[in-house]
Amino acid sequence: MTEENRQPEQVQEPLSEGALKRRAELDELLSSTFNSVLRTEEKSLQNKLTEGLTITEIHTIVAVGLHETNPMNVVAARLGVTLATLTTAVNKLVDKGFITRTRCIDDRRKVLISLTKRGKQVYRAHGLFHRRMINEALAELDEEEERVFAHALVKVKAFFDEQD
Amino acid sequence: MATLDTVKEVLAENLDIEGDQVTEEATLDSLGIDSLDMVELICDIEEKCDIEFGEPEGISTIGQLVAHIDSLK
Repeated sequence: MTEENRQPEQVQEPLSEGALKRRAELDELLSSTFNSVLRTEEKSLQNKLTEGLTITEIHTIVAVGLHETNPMNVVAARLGVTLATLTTAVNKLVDKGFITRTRCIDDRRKVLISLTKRGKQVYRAHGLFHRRMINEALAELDEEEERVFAHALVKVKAFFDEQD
Repeated sequence: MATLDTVKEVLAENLDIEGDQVTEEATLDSLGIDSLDMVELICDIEEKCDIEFGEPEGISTIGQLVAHIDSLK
């Protein structure tokens, strides 16, 4: 957390030894789960439809939208990157045949991007991976555990979103 | 072209599946079509039939696939 967005320290009761140990475990669990998800996703890319693409390229394809035609700034905002960064990424994906560029009919200066058939295949393959991963990862939780897990994660994620 | 013929054409082009194997009753499993094959199949069908396939659950036979495509035309 940076100095500028640090909240005033709240006076809190000191944590018990058990709670401190649990916090340390959760810290480790959060980091290792994040890394495991990335590793699993990387492995899933070794298939006939997404071979040769990086995770960043796949997420760029997903941000374009399955059946959408979007201006560059809309896609850049979805990804949280600058237009310059997106332009470099899109150039590569156009060359590789996953994205197509057109000019806006109403404003010829505006460039619109959409997915080619190969891009749509990648989009769908990525969705398939996520559905499969979440179903398998949560298979051991019963309904109540899943509800509590989701409720707690929403609260934890709110903290991380505030750091953006 | 009838939808079943389009499906036969796409399956022959992508997966070398013989047309006479592709009946309404045939299951995707029995034809050896896995989920990634299905992704390719859907994208080709979208292009050929000019539809947006969506993400329907529970399609397990060619007949169900054909019925879903027809419902989008």
